[in-house]
Amino acid sequence: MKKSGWKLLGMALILTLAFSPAWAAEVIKVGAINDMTGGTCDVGKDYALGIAEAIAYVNDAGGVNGKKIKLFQFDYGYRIPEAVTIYKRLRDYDKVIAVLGWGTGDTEALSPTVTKDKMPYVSASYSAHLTDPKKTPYNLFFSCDYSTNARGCITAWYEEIWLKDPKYKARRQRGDKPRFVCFYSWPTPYSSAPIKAIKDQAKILGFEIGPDQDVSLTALDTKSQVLAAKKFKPDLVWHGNTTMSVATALKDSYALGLGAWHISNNWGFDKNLVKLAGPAAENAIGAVPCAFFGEKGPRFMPKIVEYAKKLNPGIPEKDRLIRTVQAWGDVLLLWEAMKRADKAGKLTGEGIKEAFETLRNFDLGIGAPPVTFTPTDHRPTSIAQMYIIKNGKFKFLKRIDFKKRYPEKWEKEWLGW
Amino acid sequence: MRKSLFIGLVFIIAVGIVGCTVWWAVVPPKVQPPVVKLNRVEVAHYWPFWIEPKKKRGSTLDLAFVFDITNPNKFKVMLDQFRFTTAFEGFELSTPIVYEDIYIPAKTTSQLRVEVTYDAYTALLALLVPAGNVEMLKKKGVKHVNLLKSWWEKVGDFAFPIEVRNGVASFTSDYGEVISSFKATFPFKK
Repeated sequence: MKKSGWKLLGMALILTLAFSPAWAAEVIKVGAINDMTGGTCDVGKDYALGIAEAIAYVNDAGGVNGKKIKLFQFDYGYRIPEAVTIYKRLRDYDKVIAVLGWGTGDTEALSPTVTKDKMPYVSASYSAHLTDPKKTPYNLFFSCDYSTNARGCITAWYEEIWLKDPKYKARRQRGDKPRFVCFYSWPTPYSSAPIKAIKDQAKILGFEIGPDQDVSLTALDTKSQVLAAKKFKPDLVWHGNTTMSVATALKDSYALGLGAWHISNNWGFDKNLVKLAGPAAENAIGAVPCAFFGEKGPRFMPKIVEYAKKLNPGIPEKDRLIRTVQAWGDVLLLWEAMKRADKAGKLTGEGIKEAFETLRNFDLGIGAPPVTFTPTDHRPTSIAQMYIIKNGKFKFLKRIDFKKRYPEKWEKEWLGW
Repeated sequence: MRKSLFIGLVFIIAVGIVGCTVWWAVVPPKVQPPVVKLNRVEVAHYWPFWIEPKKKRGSTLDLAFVFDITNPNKFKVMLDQFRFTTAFEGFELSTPIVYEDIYIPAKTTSQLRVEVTYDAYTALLALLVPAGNVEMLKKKGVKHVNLLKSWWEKVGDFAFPIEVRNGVASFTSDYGEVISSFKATFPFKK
């Protein structure tokens, strides 16, 4: 009889534990280093909001095979030394297993450290310098890299405008070369990262290249740069900065009658460009990594909008940018890798990296080209997507698959720059 | 007799524990969002204004934002994450995020002090880069450095509105998670 009493007590304890509300599920810690106040906060703040919203969705959707993600997110104000100190805190104190980073400067500065620490570092820097796993095995991102974006923009303009616009017919027949200059912040790693690639593509297409113009990320006046570029009479200008600075350069180019077309990297091309530059933004062409916020079609867009409203009700929907969607792209990518690593029983930095390298044509559901990573190539995609601003709206212009178009160069020459 | 008394007692305790646990698990109490209210803003540390944009540096200003967090529930909740944006005269300058775990007992009010450091150079970037701030600067017709200087000089008297915007506090408890949103402008209207 005594035995059955103990049995009853044992059962009671088991049931208590099973139903206990305080039952703590395993938690996975992930860090985020974002710019909400610094030189790239025009695009960084929206991205940071998107990171927190996407993580909330991931947790509501079951986390990493039942394990919840705890996010530790910090603003580093685009100051590289501060990003390094935050990274050390995340690694040593919070003990995160992966980091969602931000800029090219800090991502490249931290790259040797994250490699040593075997810390997956999924950043918003799409610098091609981060795509060669021999050099930067733990750096990953979801988007087409900056160099491919740049090659895409200049090629799209060449094929859709230079070769088709009757305005250039006489010059084409004369055998004139289109004339090209670059506007970007020389000391900023993000801005300078794709310059070598775009000039290489310009040479392939037969452009004449003029002098580079140094434009700061915080530029409120670019008249001297526009006037200097005007002497070269460019047909096309590449803008390598973020939206605010690109808007200033477009407005000054418009006011001073530069008479060139404009192409821009993805972080300089969003609806704030139209808002800030007005008519000067008309016909600007830009690289677009994924769907715009609220755009119909992509599988995850209803969730992206829902979580933006739910978690940040104080920010009107009209003020949300494509940057939110980009943040979801990096979170969904990391989520998939963590789920695969966990399933393989290797939820460690090394296991997550190996899991990334099993992704083949993986559709993130955000209107981005599908991603593939292999142990020898971390370029997520070879497809660049370009849009053009017409009547203040973004219109699809062209999609170029550089692996298909230049298979040998893609395989043997272009990896890592 | 003793044996049956013992078994009976064990049975009653077991049924009681299981019953209560299953009840709380099946019908958990609804978690009410705690109320977050700005109590005051203080100047925590102060240095006179200077800025050297070319050297990317300037003086700092430390403000402390003190919040009252009231837990209306009959059980404790834990503050898991606390985030808000600060704005001077409508210009958004920083978004502090706090992760310290703080338990708030049932039906009580705890206070949280969040210190925010502004440095003149980063504040300058925040004025010049985001689309909203640039537009407002133009409308006001003020030079950015002059505006910064006036903030540093007037903050001791709180002679301009300091806003807490888009505040979001996440709480966890034994019965679920809940989010509270908050906003305020200091000095408060009399």
